[in-house]
Amino acid sequence: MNKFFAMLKDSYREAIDGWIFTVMLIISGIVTLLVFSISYRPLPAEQALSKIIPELRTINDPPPLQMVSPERGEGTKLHVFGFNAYVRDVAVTPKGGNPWQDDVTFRLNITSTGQGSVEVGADKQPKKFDINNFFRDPFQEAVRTWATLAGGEKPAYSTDLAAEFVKFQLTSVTRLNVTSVTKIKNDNAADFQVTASGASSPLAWPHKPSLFFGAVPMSFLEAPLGQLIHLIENSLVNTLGAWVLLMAGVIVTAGFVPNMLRKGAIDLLLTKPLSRPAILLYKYIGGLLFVLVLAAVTYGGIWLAIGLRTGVWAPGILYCVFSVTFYFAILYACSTLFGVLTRNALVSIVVTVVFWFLIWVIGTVHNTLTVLDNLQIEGRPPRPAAQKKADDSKPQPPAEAVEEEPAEGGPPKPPRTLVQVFDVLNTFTPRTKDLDTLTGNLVTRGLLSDGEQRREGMKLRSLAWGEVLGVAGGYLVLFLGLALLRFVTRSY
Amino acid sequence: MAAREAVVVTNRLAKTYGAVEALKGVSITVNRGEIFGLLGPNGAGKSTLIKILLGIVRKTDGDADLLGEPAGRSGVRKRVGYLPEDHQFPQYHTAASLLHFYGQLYGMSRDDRRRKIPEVLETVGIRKRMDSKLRTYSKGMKQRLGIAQAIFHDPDVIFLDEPTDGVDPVGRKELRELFEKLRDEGRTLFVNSHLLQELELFCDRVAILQRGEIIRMGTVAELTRQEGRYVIGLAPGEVFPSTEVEHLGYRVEKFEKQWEVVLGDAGNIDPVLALITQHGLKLRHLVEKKQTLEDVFVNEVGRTEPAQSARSRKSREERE
Repeated sequence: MNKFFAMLKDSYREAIDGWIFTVMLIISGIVTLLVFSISYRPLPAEQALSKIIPELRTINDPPPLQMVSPERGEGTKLHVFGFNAYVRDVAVTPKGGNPWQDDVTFRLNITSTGQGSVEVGADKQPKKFDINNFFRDPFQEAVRTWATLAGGEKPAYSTDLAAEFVKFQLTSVTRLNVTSVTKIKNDNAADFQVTASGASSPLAWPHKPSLFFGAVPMSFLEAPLGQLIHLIENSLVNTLGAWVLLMAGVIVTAGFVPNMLRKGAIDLLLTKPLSRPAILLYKYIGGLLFVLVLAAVTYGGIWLAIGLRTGVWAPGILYCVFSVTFYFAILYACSTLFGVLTRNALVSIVVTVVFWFLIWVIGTVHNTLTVLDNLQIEGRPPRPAAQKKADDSKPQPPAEAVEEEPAEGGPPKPPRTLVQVFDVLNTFTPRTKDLDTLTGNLVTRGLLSDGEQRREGMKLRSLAWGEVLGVAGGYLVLFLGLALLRFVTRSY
Repeated sequence: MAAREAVVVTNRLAKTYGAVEALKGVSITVNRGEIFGLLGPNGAGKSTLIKILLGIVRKTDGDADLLGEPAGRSGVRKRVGYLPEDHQFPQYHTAASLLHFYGQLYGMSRDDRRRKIPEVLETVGIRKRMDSKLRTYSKGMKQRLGIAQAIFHDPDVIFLDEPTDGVDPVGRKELRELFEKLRDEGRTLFVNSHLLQELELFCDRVAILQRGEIIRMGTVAELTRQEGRYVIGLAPGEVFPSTEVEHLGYRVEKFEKQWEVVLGDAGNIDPVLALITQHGLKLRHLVEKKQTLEDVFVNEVGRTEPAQSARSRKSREERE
C-alpha cells in the first residue's frame, strides 16, 4: 500500500509541477468566489406566485406513464395541457421571515388556450379551438387525466375534482403548503380561491439573483431558487466547466506515461520491487488523481459557496466529482494506451482529443436522431392516416392516445438506415452523452423536485445505466488492458 | 565460503533484436563481495546484459540468475541497486524527495528513510543541496545522486553503468573509495565503464564483451599480466646479440634503434644483461614494458575489429 501511495504522491508532484495545475486552481478559486458573491433575494408573493403558477398545467407526478424510447426500455412521459393559470388578488400575512414563509391567499383564474385540442385541417394548419367542445377543454382534460394516474377509468369532470387537482398541483409543483382550495361561484368554469401557509421550501420560490453581493442585479434570471442553483451548478459541472476541467486533465496527464517511459527514467522504475502492471496502474490512478483533486476543489468550493449563501446544501454537485472523474478515466485510459505505444505526449493528446470528439459526435447525432425518430407529443395532431381514421369514428380519441409518427408539418423523420447506423455506433462506443445526462441528473439532487426535473426534460429519457456504465467501463478496461499488455511485454 | 557465493550467473545468455544479435551466449559468474567490470566498445551489449539481469529487457535464450533467482523477478529487486547510464530523474523532485519516493518503493520505513537519506547524500557529497530541485543540479551532482539512490537501501548487488561519468577527478577518487568500501562490506558491484584506467584501479575481475560475446575474462592481474617484455637500447653503433639471446629461449624484436626482448612466462632478464656485459656492450636504455587494461582491451578488440583498434591506438598515442 505504501508503494501505491508513493506512486500517487509522485504523480501528484508531477501534476503540480506544471503551471496548468496552478492556473486551474486559480481559475477554480475565482469561480468559487464569483459564485460566493451571488446574492439571492426571494421575490414578493404576488410576483413569485405569478411566476410559478403557470407550471400548474403540467402533470408530472408519479405514477409515471410508460412510453417513448423503445431502444432504451421504459421511460416517463410528460403531459402538457394548453391552459393558462393566472394569479389575482394576492393577500399576504407576513410571518416576519422570508416572503416564501408568509401566509398567502389568492384567486386562481384558469383559462384555456386551446392547444390541447388542436386539429389539423387539409391545409395542415391548426384549426381554431372549439370552446364549446366539453371534452376538448384542456383544463378539464388535465383534471381528468390527472385523476387516471392513480388508476382506473377517466372520470367525468367535476368542480370538486378540479379543486382537488389544483391543491395537489400547487402542493407538488410549487411546494406551497396549501390549506384550502375553494371553487368560486361565478360564470367562469375554473376560478378558485386558494389559501396557503407559505411554501415548504425556498427551492421552488422565485428569487432574484445579483452578482458581487447585490451590486449587479440580474433580473432576467429570476427563477425558483432550486432552478437558479441548478443553472449555476449545471453550467459549471456539465458544460463549460467540465470541458475545461477534462481538457486540462487530458493535456496535463498526457505527459505522465511518456515521461515515465523515457530512456533512463523507466530503467529506474523497472528496477524497483514493483511489478510492471502495478507501475502502470499506479501511474494511471495518479493521473486520475489530478482530475479528482481539481474537481473536488472546484465543485467542493462551489458547493460550499452556495451553501453558505443560500442555506441549501444539496449534495448533487459533490457526486459529480466522481462522475466527471469517471468520464476522465475513459479519456485517460486512451491517453495511457497511446502513451505506452508511442511514448509521445503530443500524440497521446491528439489521439485522445480526436477520440473524445468522435464519441461526442456519435452520442450527439444518435440522441438527436433518436428524439426525431421517436417524437411523440401529447395532444399533437395525429399523422394523416390516424387523422383519417379519427375522422371516421367520432368522438375522437383522447389526445394522449395518439402515438407513433410525428405530425405532418413537424420535424421530419430521419432515414431509418441512418438511425440504425448511429444506433450501432452508439451501442459500441462509450456513451458520453449518457454520462452527461447522469451528471446532470446528479446535479439536480436536492435542488429540483421530481416534477421540475421532468418539466426540464431530465426524466424524459430513460437510460439503461448498467449498459451505459458497462460499455464505458469496457472501453476503459480495453484501453488499459492493451496498454498493460504492451508495457509488460516490451523491453526498455 | 561466503565470498565465493555466486550472485550473478548467466549461462549462454542470448538476446536478439530482430536480425541483430545483441548477446550471443554470454556466460559469466560474479561472486559476492567482488567488483566486476564489464568492458566493451559501444554497442557490444554491456547495457543489454545488465538490463536482462534487472528484468528491464527480456532475454531471447539462455539463463540469467540474480541472487539465486531467475532474473527479472520483482522480489529480488529489493536487494539490488542500479545506476543506469544517461539516467533521467524526475525534475520536479529534490534529492531528498526522490530518495523518499524510491525508499517507499523499496519498502523502507519513514524512520529509516529519514535517517539514511542525509547519510547517503553526505557520502556522495551533495547533502547541502538535498532540498534543491533536481533541475538545478549539475551533471556531476546528478551522477552522485544516481549513485546515492543505487546504494541507500543497502542492496546486496549494485549495478553501475558508467558510474563516474561527469564527475570531476577528486569526486572520482572519492567514488572509487566508496566502491571499495562497499565491496569490503560484502556487497557485489557490477560496473560498466569506458574508463578503463579507473576500472583497473578498483575492479577485482573484468570481462571484455565484444559484439555480444565475452572474449576475455579474469582478474585484472591476469589480464594485464606481464609477459616479461623489456626494451633495450645500446650505445650508438653497437649491435645487440639477437641470435645468442634467442638461443637462451627468448624472443627478440627490433624496433628502429632499440630491441624488445620477450622473456616468456618464467623468464628472467638477468641472463640477457650478463650477455651484454660479456660482449662488452654499453647498456644505455632498459625499461620493463608494462601492459595496462587499456592495452589488453585495445588488443583484444583489435583482433575482431582492426579498424577500431587502430583508432584506439592512435588516440592513445596522441594522449601519450
